[in-house]
Amino acid sequence: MAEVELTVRVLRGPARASAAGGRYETYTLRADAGWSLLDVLEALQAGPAPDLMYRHSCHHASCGTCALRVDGRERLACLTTVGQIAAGRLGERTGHGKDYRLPRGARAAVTLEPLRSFPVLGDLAADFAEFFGKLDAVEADLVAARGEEATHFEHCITCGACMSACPIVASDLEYLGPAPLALALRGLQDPTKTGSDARRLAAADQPHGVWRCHHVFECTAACPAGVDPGQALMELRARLVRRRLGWREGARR
Amino acid sequence: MSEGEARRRPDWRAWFAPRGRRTGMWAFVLNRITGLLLLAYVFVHLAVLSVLFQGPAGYDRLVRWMSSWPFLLFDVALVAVLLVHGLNGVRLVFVGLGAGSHRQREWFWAAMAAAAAVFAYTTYLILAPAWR
Repeated sequence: MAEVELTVRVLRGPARASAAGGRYETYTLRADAGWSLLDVLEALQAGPAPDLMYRHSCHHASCGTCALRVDGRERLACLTTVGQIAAGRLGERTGHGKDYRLPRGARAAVTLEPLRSFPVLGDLAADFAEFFGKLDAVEADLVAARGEEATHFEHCITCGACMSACPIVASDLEYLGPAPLALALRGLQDPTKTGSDARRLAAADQPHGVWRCHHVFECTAACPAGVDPGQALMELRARLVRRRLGWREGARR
Repeated sequence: MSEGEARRRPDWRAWFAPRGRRTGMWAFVLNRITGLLLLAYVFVHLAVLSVLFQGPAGYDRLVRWMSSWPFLLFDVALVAVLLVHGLNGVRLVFVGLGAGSHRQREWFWAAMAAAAAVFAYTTYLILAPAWR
């Protein structure tokens, strides 16, 4: 793999209510094109920024811990590669296993910021307490559904990328947001009938529930797990409208 | 600070931050901006119409004013804002009810294409008489 001279601009700062208010610090290092951003962060921590804070765990897109903003886009650090950054291909889900045919002596620059709409514990580490509280409000059931009604919503790894991408989550603190609402629908579709459907519907059918969505669909675009929270919200709305009109659930009209 | 102690505040700047975003966000930003422009226009509209309180002389002045080039160009701009906001609004009604939400990007561009076509025709209707 080609080596890249990577300039990394990191929004750093102590614990605070949002990403704003930090300061950008710039580091330059030589990185293999196959490195993930987690490798880059670990290299920074081992070198010029030993006190750099960031979150990570599994390194393979299962835990949803390492989400952050890369050049303004929500990404999992473990899925994003140096080669992908250098090639300007951040629109692709992952850069792993791809040869971007970078020229010898390639250079690239990237800006890393913590997730938007999350309090910050320090540097790039977001505070998930509020987000997890919203997941509890809809009794988000993370056990994979069994049977023929299985949906793709259980693929959600609760990484918070959709919450960060949504401009309404930023402006309305009480808005449940894409992931909790997608998981509310997934709970309603769950053939094992775990949790309370009434509680899920009540949480979704309130001013800070599905009706607050403004159809930006950045949640769907940002999701690294292929979940389509935007579509889930629309399905949930349709379900609530049918319920209000007294239509039988599942009836085709 | 331990986990959960930091309370975030509403961040309205996110409404106008399309950096790194895609069509849906640009459509959202466009709808916010055109919405605010239309809100401002309502007040301009009422202020202009208040000239009518001055009687027939005021009416004559208003008609002269409305036939002037700056006003006609303002009308053309108003039509553009109305079409973008209105047709994107129609898209949102359908998408918001789950109809074609998988194709929301294509619907946006279709709405904008329709807006452009109607805008071209309306511009001709507004400006052609003044051109002659």
